[in-house]
Formats: sequence, C-alpha cells, structure tokens
Amino acid sequence: MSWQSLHAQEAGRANSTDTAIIELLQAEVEPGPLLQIRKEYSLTGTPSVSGTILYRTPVPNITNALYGRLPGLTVKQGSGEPGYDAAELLIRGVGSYDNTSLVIYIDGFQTTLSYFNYLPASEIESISVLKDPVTLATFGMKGANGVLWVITKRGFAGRRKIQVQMVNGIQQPQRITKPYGSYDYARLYNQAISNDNYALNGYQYKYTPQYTEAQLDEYRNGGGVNVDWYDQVLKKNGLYTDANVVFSGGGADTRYALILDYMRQRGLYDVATNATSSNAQIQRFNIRSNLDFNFFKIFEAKVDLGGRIEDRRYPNFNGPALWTNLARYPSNVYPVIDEATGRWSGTTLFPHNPVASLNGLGWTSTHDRTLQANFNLKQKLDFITPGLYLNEGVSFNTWTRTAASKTATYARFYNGIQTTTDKQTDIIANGATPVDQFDWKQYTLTTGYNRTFGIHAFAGAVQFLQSNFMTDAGINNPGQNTGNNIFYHFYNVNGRFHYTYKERYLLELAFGSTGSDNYAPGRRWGFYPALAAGWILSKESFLANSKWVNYLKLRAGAGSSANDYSRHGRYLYQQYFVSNGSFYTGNSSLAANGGIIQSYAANPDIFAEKSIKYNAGIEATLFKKLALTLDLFRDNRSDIVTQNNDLMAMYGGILPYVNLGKVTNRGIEASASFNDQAGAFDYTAGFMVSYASNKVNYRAEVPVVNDFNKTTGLPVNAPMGLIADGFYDITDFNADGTLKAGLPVPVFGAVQPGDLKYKDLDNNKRVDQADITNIGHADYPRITYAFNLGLRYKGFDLSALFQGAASYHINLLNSAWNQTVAFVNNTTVYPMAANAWAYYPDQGIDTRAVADYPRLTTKANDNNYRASSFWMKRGNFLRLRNAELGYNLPAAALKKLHLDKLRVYISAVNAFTWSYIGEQYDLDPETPAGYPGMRSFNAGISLTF
Amino acid sequence: MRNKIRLLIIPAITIAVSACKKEFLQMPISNATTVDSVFTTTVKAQGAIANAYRNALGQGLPWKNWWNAMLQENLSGGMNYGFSWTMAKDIVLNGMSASGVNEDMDGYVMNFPPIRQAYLVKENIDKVTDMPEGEKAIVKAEMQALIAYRYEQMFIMYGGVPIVSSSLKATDSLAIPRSPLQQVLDSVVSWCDQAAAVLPSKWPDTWTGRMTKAAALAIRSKALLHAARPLFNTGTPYLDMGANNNLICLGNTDANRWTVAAQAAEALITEAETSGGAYIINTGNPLDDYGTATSVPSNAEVLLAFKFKNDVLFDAGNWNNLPMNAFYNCRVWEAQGNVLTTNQLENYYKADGSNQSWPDAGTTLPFSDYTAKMNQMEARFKSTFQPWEMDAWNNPGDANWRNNSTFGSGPGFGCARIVKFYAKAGGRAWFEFPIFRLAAAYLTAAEAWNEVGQTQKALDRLNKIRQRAGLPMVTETDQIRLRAIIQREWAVECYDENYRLHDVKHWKLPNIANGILGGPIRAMSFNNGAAVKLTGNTNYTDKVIYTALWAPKQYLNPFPQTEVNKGYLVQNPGY
Repeated sequence: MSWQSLHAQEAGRANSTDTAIIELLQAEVEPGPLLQIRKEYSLTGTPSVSGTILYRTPVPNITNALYGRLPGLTVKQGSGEPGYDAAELLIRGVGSYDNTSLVIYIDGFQTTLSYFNYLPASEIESISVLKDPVTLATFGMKGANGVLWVITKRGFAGRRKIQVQMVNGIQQPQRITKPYGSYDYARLYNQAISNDNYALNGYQYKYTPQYTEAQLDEYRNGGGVNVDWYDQVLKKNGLYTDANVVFSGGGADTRYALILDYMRQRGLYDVATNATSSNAQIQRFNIRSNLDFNFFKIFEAKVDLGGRIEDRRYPNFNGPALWTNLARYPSNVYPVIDEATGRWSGTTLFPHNPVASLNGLGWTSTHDRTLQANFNLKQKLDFITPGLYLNEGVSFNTWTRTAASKTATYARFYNGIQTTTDKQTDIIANGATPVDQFDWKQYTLTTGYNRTFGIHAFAGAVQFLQSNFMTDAGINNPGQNTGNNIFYHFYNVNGRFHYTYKERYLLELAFGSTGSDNYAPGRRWGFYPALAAGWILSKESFLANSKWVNYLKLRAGAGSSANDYSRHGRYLYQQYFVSNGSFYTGNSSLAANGGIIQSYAANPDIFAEKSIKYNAGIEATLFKKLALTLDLFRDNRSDIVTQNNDLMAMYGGILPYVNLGKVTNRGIEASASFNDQAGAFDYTAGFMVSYASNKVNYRAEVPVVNDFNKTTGLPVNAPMGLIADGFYDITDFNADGTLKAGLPVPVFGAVQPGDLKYKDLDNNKRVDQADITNIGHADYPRITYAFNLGLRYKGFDLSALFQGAASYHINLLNSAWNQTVAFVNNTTVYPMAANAWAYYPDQGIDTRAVADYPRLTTKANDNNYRASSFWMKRGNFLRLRNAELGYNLPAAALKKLHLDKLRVYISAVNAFTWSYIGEQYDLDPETPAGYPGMRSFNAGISLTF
Repeated sequence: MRNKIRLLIIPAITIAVSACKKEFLQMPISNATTVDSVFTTTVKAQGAIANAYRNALGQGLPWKNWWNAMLQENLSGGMNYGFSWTMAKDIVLNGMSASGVNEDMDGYVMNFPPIRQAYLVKENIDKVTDMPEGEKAIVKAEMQALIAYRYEQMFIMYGGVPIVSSSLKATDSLAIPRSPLQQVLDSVVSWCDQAAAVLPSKWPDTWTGRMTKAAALAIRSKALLHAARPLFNTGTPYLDMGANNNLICLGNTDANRWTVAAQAAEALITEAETSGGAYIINTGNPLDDYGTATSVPSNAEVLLAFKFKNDVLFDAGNWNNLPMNAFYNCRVWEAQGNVLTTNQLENYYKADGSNQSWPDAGTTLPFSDYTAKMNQMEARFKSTFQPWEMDAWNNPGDANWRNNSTFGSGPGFGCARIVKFYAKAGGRAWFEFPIFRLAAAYLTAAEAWNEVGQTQKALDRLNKIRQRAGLPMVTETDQIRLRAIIQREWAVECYDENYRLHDVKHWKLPNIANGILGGPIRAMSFNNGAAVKLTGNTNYTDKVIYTALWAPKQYLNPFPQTEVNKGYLVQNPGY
C-alpha cells in the first residue's frame, strides 16, 4: 500500500470520526515499526487511540488524556502543578524490579518522555501501545518495557482544509484535604501533650493541658488566631486555554499539514502574575509542519518539523515545599500579617508564611525550547523488482532549558518583633542561566519488500539504526558511572517479516539485534528473535456465511527483547576505585592521606536484562455491532541487574552487579465496544480491563532473619512491615511503666497505653525488624478498567468515560505523611486523628473502645509511625474522567456560513471520584498530598472550512 | 534505468557514512580511577594504603558518623549505656542476639572489607612503578600486620573465624568455614612474626602512625594473652558445642600458654623500649604523666593509635554526621550521656593507695562529703573524670573544661563526667584513640608472670605502672590476691581503652553476672534521688540505675543470623 492511498484512508477515517462518539474499528492499518500491516491481518493486537479522541480531554499534559483509552497501559495520575503534571505510564504493569520505564517513539524515532508530555493532541494522529512479543523484539534492548508509538498528523491529497479549535476551561482541585482549625487543634494538642507526660506523671495518664479552657472557648467562639492556610493561598479556580489551527491539503506530489497550537494553564495560587509576582503557569507554543513530496517517480520524501516553546513561571518558592507547609502549619501559629507591624508574620519554627511565600519572594521561570526534525527519503525500487524499496531517515531532536527569575526576600515578624535575620529587600532580576539540555541524533537505513502473489502476501523490512544521545550531567540517569558519562550510543539492526496465506493463515517473524555501549567489548551485542502465527477463522467456509460472526481471529506469539537501561548504571564491567575518607599520619601536625577503595566488583559478563514474552489473543466482531478483543500474556524476565547479596561476608568487597534477578509478570486485557441505533439515537458503549500481576522469583536479596521477612516470592515493591494488633491498653503495663511479663517488647522506643501493638511473628518476645512481613499489595494497581458510554441524537452528542483502578494499597505514611502524622515536628492535625486513643475520664475523654488512631503525641514516635499493616489502605477508585455534551450545526446552516463543520461543546474532566480513601480519610487516591490533581469544566468550539 | 541507478548513489553514500564503526560503542574517557591506574604511582597507591589503615584500625570505634553509636565501655559496666537511642542500651538490657546489633557495631561482616583492602594492596603494590623494592616489602608487612590486627580482635570476640588469605573474587568459592581457635591463633602469631621481621622500629615524623615492629608484636602479645586466659585455655568450653568445641576453646588447659604470653609481652617491651623509642612516662607528676600517656598525640607510650582527626567539635550540628569526638569529648552533649558508674568507681584507689569508702546503696550523704572524697582520689582518676560541681583536674584553668562547659544534658545521675583522652587538650576537638599503649604490655607481662608463679617479675612489671600512677608499690606474693590486684590495675589503667569488656569475659570472673557485666549497675544520684545540678547540689546517694543482663552465651559474640542463613557458618553456642 502506498503512502498516498494509506493517507487517503487515514484522512477519510479522520473525517468520519470527527463526530463519531466512539470508534469501533480504529485505523485500517495498524501502527507499528517497519511494516504497514492491515489490522485485519495483524498479529500484534496493538490498541490505538486517535488524536481526535485525545483532544476531547482538555488537559495540558498529554499523559493525562490517556486514562482508560488504551488496554494494557496503566496511567497513574501525579501532581497537578502546572508544568509538572505528568502521569506515570506503565505498559502491562510492572515486569521488573529494575527500571520499568517505557520507551516513546514519535514518527518512527525514539524521543524522551519530556518531549512527549507536552505534545498537543492537535498534532497527534494516533498513539498506540506496542506490547506484543513481535513488535517489541524489533526494538531489541529498548523493547522489554513496551513502547508508546506516536504518529503525528499528515496532509492528504484533496481540497485545502482549515480547522480552527478553541477550548477554555476553569480548573479546580479534585480534593483539598484540610486540617482542623484552631479549636480542634488546641483540643487535641492538649491530649497529645498530656500523653507525652505519661512517664513524668509516674506512668499515669494525667490531664496536663497546654491550652486553657478560656483559650479553647475563645477558639470555639471564633476568636484567636485561626488561619485557613489553604483559603489564604488558593483561589477557587485556575484557568486553561488551548487554541489551534490546522492547515492541510495538497496534491498528488506535495502534501502538507501545518499545525499551530497555543496553550496556557494558570494555577491555583491567589497571587497576580505581573512584574513582581507570579501564579504557577505554563504557556506552550507549538508549530509543526509535516510535508510529503513525491519526485522523479521513485522518490518519496517526508520533512517533519515539530518545534515547541514551553514557558513556565512560578512563585519563587519551591512548589512541593509550599504544599508541605500548607499541610503542616497549624491554624493558630500566627495571623498572615503581623498585627503590630503590618508586615509578614513568621517565626523561626514556622519561617515560611505560605502567603508571604507567594507574595514576598518574587518569581522564577524556565524557558524550554524543543525541536524534533525528521527527514525520510524513500526510493521505490520497483524497476529492480516490484515491491522493493529503500528508505533513509534522519532525526534530530534537541531540547534546552534556561532559567530566569526576579527575586526578593522579606523580613519576618511576630508580635512586632523581627524573628529571623531575613531582611526586606527590593526585587532584583537574575539573568537567564542555562539549566539542562539534550540532543539526540538518529540515522536509519531501511530496505523492504511488499508483494502479493496470488494467495501469498508478503511484507518484510530490515532496518539499521544508529542512535547518538547526549545530555547534561545534571539530568543524567541515576546509577553508577552516569554523571560524567553523558554520551549514549547504540546500534539496532532489526527486521520484521509478515506472511499471509490465502488471506487467513498468518505468520510473522521479527528480530532485533542491539549493540549497546554499556557493556564490555565482545559483550555488546544481543539478538532477540520473535515469532507469531494467526488464523482468521471467519474466512473459513464454516464461518464465512455466519450471520453473527463477522470477523474472528486467533493469534499467538512469543519473542524476546531486552532492557539495557538499568537503574544501577553503566559500565558495570569496569573495575573502578573511589575515594573513601582519610587516614592521618604524623607526629604533632597530622597530615591527611586520602583513602581509595575498590568500588563494586567489576563484572565483565554484565549484560542487558532479558525478557521473554508470550501472548495469545482473540479478536472478533459479532453482529456487526460488537467488537471484542482478549489477550493473555506472560512476561518472563531474567538477568535483571542486581547487587549479589548472596555472597559470603568473606568476600569483603562492595558486592558486584550481576545479571541474576527473575520476575514473572502475567495478565489479561479485554476490551469490548458496542454500537447500535434506535430510531434517531446512535449509541455506543465500551469496556476495557487490564490485569497484570507479577512475582519476584529470585533477586539475591539481603539475607533475612526469618523466612517471612523475604521479599522474594512477592510482587515487585510489595510493602513490608509489622502486623498491627490493636493498641496497648492500660492493663498491659506494670506500675513502673514496663510491659507485663509475657508481652513481646517492641524495640522502637518506650511504649505506653494507646501505642500500636504489633505481632511478634517469630515469638522471641521482641518486636523488631525481624518480625516484618508482607502487609498488602504494592502501590501500583493490578487492575485498571474503564467504560464509556456515548449517545448521539441529530446534531447532539453526549459521552462519558469512567476509569478506575483496583487491587493496590496506599501506605498513608509514604503517600501523605503530613496529613497522617499529627503534631510531630510542630505540625497540625487532621480529622483522621480525631478518634485517637485517649483516656482522661475526668475530662470525659475515653476513646479506648472506639479508637482508630494511636494515642496522639507531639514527639517523634518510632513505634507508631513505622511501616505496618495499620497504615495500609485500599487504593481502589473510580473516576468520571471525561464527560462531554456537543452540538454540530446541521449541514444546511453550515452551507449558509460557508463552513464545512461547526461544533460547540462543553465538557467536564475528573468531575467525580469515588474512592475508599476519599471517603474514609478525605484523601485523593492518586494525588493524596502536594499540588492536587485537577478537575475542570470547559467549553469549546471547533470550525472547519 | 541508468538514471535511476545514479539516483541510488545518495543512499549508497548514506550507507557508507553510517556503516558500523567499532569506536561508536566504546566507553568514553571519564574522570574515574580504574584498577589499571590505582596501582601505578606511589601517590595513588598511598590512597589505598590509607584506606586500609583507617578501616582496619577503626574496629569497635565510633568513627563512622553514626547517630546511635556506642563506646565499648558502655557495655562493660564501666559507664552507663549512654543515651537511650544508642546501640548499647539494647545489648546491656536484653543481651546480644544473632539478629541484633553486636558489640562490633558495624558487625562481623564488616571485618572483611578492611582485610580485603589490605590484601589488595599487598597483592598489587608490586605494580607500582616508582616505589623502591624495600618500601614495597614494608608496605606488604604493614598490610599483613593490619590483617593480623583484625583477626586478633575477631579471635577475642568470636573465637575461631574463617581465615581469608587473599583478596577473593566474587566468583571464588566463598563458603569458607570457621577455622579452629588454635589455627586462628597460629595464623595471627605467624603473620605478626613475618611482619615484625620487616617493619621498621620507627617511622620518620611525617609517617608516624603506620605499623611498627612494636605494633606487630603488640598484636601478637594481645592474642597470646587471651589464648592463655581461662576462657580459651581449657578443654571445657563455656557452653558445649560438641564436635565444634575447638572453635571456642583450645582443647586443654596448658600453663605453658602463660609462659608464651609472658615472653611475648617481654619481647614487645624490649623492642618498644630499645628500638622503638617508647617508655613509660614518669616525671614524678602522676596527674600530668598519665594525662600525657593517654591524651597527647604520638606520645612516647603509644605503640599504635587510631589517627583520625575530626577537627570540628560536634555541637548541635548534623545528627547524621556525628564525628568520633562527639562520643568522647565531654564538651559535646552526645558524650555527656556517658557517666561513671559506681561499679567502676570502686576500682579506683585513693591517692594514698587505700580504698575509698563510698556510701552503701540507699545511704544519703551531704554533697560536701562527695566533693571531699573525690578530692582524695588517685591521679589516674583525676585525669579521667570530672566530678560534679568541679572544673576538670586534667585541664586546669581551661575555660573549655570548667564545670559549666561540660555539664550540658546528661542523664542526671552518675558518679562523675568522663574526660579521659583530653588531658590539657584545651580547645582541641579530636584525640587519638590509643590502640596499644606500652602500659598494657607491662600489665600483660605482670598478669602472665603471676600465673606461671614468677611473682617477682610480675611485681616488677606491675609496680612500674603503679609508680607512675603515684601509688605505693605492691608487695603481695599470694598468686590469687596478686591476680585480683593486677585485674583491678587493668580496670583502672586502661579504662575506656576497650580492654575491660573482654578482660572480664576471658578471665571468667565468678561475679560477672552480679555487678560486672550483668546485674545491678549503680551510679550516684543527687538531691534526694533527683537530677544532679550544675551548682547547689545538696546530697548524694548510690542507687541502681538498671539491671544489666548476663548470660553465659555472651562470653563470645553471635554471628549475624543473616550470614548464618547462608549455610556455611557455625553459630556460637546459645544464639
């Protein structure tokens, strides 16, 4: 199939889906490397989503448009801070305890996650998830964690088309978890401080309040200092705008798509964006020009330029630190403005008045410039033999970031007295400084052959790739030997061969062969083959005339791939020596002798982590209305780079990194979509679910004391901790404050009634780290699911997408420390701790029977606030990710306006969330702390003429 | 057709340009040091040597910046266990366990990195191009002596341990079992003999601190002394291990081991005093002399020191970066958590050599009585301790060591503050921990000669130390009574020098569970059982501050359970 006919098809599809609510069958040609295989004959089952669909979720960061769109892709929401709001992406869950990051290709060339994040939906034709053994084998050492395959929009032959789209929205936090006000703070603080005097009071609970009844009364009646820091710092809404223009068209020899896009997102901070201060903000300017030329009959050239500027501005105070302060500062520390002086309040204990952090420090900004320039030149060698071609490709990808700021400092006052040495200064401009950069040069040379002879159809291609990536030391990868080694080189030679017999029997072979610069000479190349076969049953005579089976395909494949991008670093085959302290010699004046020690033992055999993947699937279309896909997979990882803790102590060196780890990951993906009509109503419904469950089979873990301490045999990152067994009661203690005989003694500091009690699993009468065991699921979901509904009536359409995740746990101490741990380190208290264990009968306080939180304390408590089953909570949630109501002007009206199309719509993103942790603890299940995830309400218009 | 083929020149050129080049995957030059470069020049090799010294000699000392480190004396009853967060507390109250912290702090496993480092230097030093052969031989001997030191210490703490005789590769068979006690002893002795034959008696001033002949002989002497003491010198170990008894005892009781130990100590004294330039400092001023011997860097009595200079006094700084001085220098609040116990106080004599009469437990006496009795104590006490409401005797007139300079935030009880190693140190934050002092060699000789019945020789050696301390000469000739006197002398002379804990175990003292390592640990409390005050204390009482746990299994340390789980290591009995 030529580019031309292909694009005609794509274009036709794009037209038809502009108003469709949900696509039943996506692209005719399945996106993927090297070959263009019609979806019907594909053996890969690659799910795709079109840019048009993604555009319907108006979000600044494209990763947040991917929820529930692609079976097999886990999308985990993160922070909502403008400019830093990427969701975390995983393909088929977690397959390794080393690096699991997926790889991104845009228009056939690898690029970085940061480039992908702010690619506007208006530039995107489609995004696909490559997860099958065959296509991943072709990526060699880049393939093991899966690939996100992005195609940008191209022009097509036909009438010039101009599309103008604009959307505006208001954004609100999904949830703000607010602490108690001053009254409840003071009331509970009295408990906490009394609890802390337990030992001083002769191991008795005696009420020794800090706040008097009069003070409490004042707070209760609205007097005293009672600042709602969130209210002071945040405004109700942030704003979002995106506008773009797409010009496309062309003739037989020249086609073009020119896309301009502007996006601006303003954050939640209640501060003006002007010369001296700034809200959190990102502005993005995109331009993309994708050109196709045919010339001299045998040449097809593609020139794709995608350029972008990202401007970010923030208050000159670290965003995460500001949100930590909001979460930590009690309501009664001071008023925003010191009353005596009219200046910013601040104390040495609470130096960063959150309102002053926005208004008193100036602002900072970063300025990013990105370009991806791809050139492809194809020669059709039909004159040698029909179907033969050559293609040369070059990609230049570059990014730089500079920073500039205008900064000031402010003096802090409390009751008229200056409390810190900070001085009030005028705002000054700091010149632009370079921050980071990368550039990536890739060259490809491809030869391919496509031909059909009667009942045989063959398509095959072989490609050679040279990749040359360079970055700054500052953002280089973690692990050994990465800081200074900023050059990343690799070769990949790969091929893919697809064969169809009688339009029903399918066979595909693929391979990738990668040469990586991470390994020792002679150990640099790895070869990864794959094989898949399929059978289109619906083409067989027994089904050909079936009324209800329109299409039915069985397919299965197996293949290998690898990952050379270990978190442990590079050049692990080299023996390094590193400096290590000093020893002194000399008589009276000592001289230091800098010490040098052998670094980790070199492993000359170190190599890439290996993956063997198996996949079996069914695709079916039934009753011409229902499309079904089911995939089963298994991924056997081996040779995971791991420090070998099995070595005996006598080795005495820093342990070597060895290819020894083994993880098995397996799961199911299923999706279904249905569409039908009832009178003037068109309706669609879709459902998808992905399940992935892994297990570490071997990891040479640090030897453990007891068998149940082992993490081997559990899923990757399975949480380990103590098993909580209620609270200590007063009757558990002797008069001298010691635990009664027979009770196991915890070793994390003295305990008292109301502290968490743990199970002594090894029955040695001590509760220590040798009693830890698995306390729940890991923090990534094993199940993600989504369903969507669509309705169309005349010019109106209505759609909704729900997405959820299940089967995972959140450790409150890891995810929301400040919201969970009350008072410790002068922090505030949240309603979560309202029902803390307390026993002051004279004050009418006795929660012993109903307590769901350990006794309050103002001091660090290593016993209560440590990993245990007590703090593990179900993470399950369901969100309404997107809901949209649209109206398309009827054809008659359009004609009068000289328009091809006009559509207006309103939409809501993340309007509702249902979750256990939200109901029980007032926390968002995905973004429980920090800058919250966004919910938005938008209105848009789209014009084509 | 020809035109078309011509057009193909473009791709042909592309292929030529991008053809696989081998260098493309080559590692770029960076700034790292590799095995090829580390042993090329003396300057770089010295880095490896320095590291071997530091890591080998730091055994059992709190130099790793740990926030919860301890001193060995925290465990021996000579001082309280320190602050509640130190590692010592759990060991003192609950005993050692195979899954807990052991007295070595960084643990059994961490004995082997310095041993490996020493072997690496020893095996590779010949590659250095600009070092004379003679120096290389000395470096090898130094490394051998460092290895011997770690093994001597492990021998005392663990009994028989696996013997490593080269730098092992990760691919070597590493499941080396424990060697019998005798074999470990023989190895240590022969390593010391080999090293002593090559090592210099003295180093030039700039290199003072490196291994000398006397240091190697001191290692040997310490090993042989412990081989002669009752814990190992027996056919009946402290707990039965059946066929593995040879891992924890020497198989018989042999009086000749004492003769060997005595001769080893004498050989050490001879070498140190004739060629090494060492001597027992005795100018007739006991307070200053003992202070000099324990506190002045590179003084004439030190045979080997841990020369580790933390020049910054830890004040309220970073908890994750506690320098060694934070645990020893009483001007620092962390060190203020350690106070003298009554158990140890009672070992000190009055200046006239008689015993002080301290109040019985429960008897409350006026604070003036406390002050008066403290002033009557012997010079070594005054050089080691600073009683409450007094400026330190060992830094007279120095503002850094006044009563209020070291008061800080201790536990509120205790017989006195500990100021050892800082005599006349003034504002100097650091000190050198004396690993081997000549005085210990004298006490070793005294102990060993007494055991073989050479009473006069024993008294000669003992009295040299007593004389310097300003105490009257001992004339006791009864072996048992003299033994007790010598043991008391060890406790006093070498307080806080990491001897006491193993001395009392290896002597198998009958009262070990009753007020030595186990049982009631006592200290003075003040003002009717309340906390001591900077000034204005009214009275003092001796009280039990806690009951320490002793169990016979604790004669030797446990091997970590995580290492035993690997299946090649026999655990010590009882764990």
